[in-house]
Amino acid sequence: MRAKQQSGQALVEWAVSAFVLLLFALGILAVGQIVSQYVTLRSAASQAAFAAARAPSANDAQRAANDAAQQAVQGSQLQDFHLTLDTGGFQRGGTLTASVQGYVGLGEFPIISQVLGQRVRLTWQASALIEPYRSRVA
Amino acid sequence: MTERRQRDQQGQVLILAVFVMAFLFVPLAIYVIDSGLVEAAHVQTGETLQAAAEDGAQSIDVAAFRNSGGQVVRLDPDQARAASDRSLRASRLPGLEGWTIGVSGNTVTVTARVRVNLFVLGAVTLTQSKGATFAIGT
Repeated sequence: MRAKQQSGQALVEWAVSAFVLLLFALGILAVGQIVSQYVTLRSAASQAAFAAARAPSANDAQRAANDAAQQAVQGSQLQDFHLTLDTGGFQRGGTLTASVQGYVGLGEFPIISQVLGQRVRLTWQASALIEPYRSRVA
Repeated sequence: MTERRQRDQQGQVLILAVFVMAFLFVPLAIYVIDSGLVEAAHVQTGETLQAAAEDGAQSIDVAAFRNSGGQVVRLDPDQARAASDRSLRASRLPGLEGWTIGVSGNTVTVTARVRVNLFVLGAVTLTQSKGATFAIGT
């Protein structure tokens, strides 16, 4: 009788431990996903800012920034990626700022998504010196 | 004998789970987060230094160019240092602690130290160098 009770207790212990460990493992995977997208997002902001800084006009800067950022996030799992470029008048030698944001979906991590939310928002900003010597278009 | 063995085994799964958490999952979680932060900083530092080096490497010696009637096109080391310096300052790179700019021949090399605040393990300092070479007509 006692042996049977202990056997049941071990099973419960095992089940609880396995659940907690599984939860933790899922959490690590989810955090890994967020961190990896964060690296991509930061890189996209930098690349957008540097591409824009080398453009010959404010409009071209916007296009160059968009292209560079889209290229940087291509193949990533960022959702609703958005770039805002502040050219600050696009004066030679001035500073422009690229602000990016995107979401990481956690839907594939069932319990973790209940804790951290279905999507985690990531943002970043990068600035660059507008090239002082490049020819400008009208 | 059997009863004693079963008593000895009581709670073994929980102890195992605690060990797995303490020595595997928690260090793994810390590694995932902190190495991600280091990588993000490393990538952004590299991109920023590359841009600064390129900004410096396009500083031509205007006086020599004009005095020679456009025949002499060469890098102005002082202008190159100043341009790289301006570029680095404009980037507002997080954690930027110090930098050196070297000009050797036609090559501008920018070296910077960046402090990265980690989630758990305190902070680390990254040192990275990037170079760019002055070239004409490419």
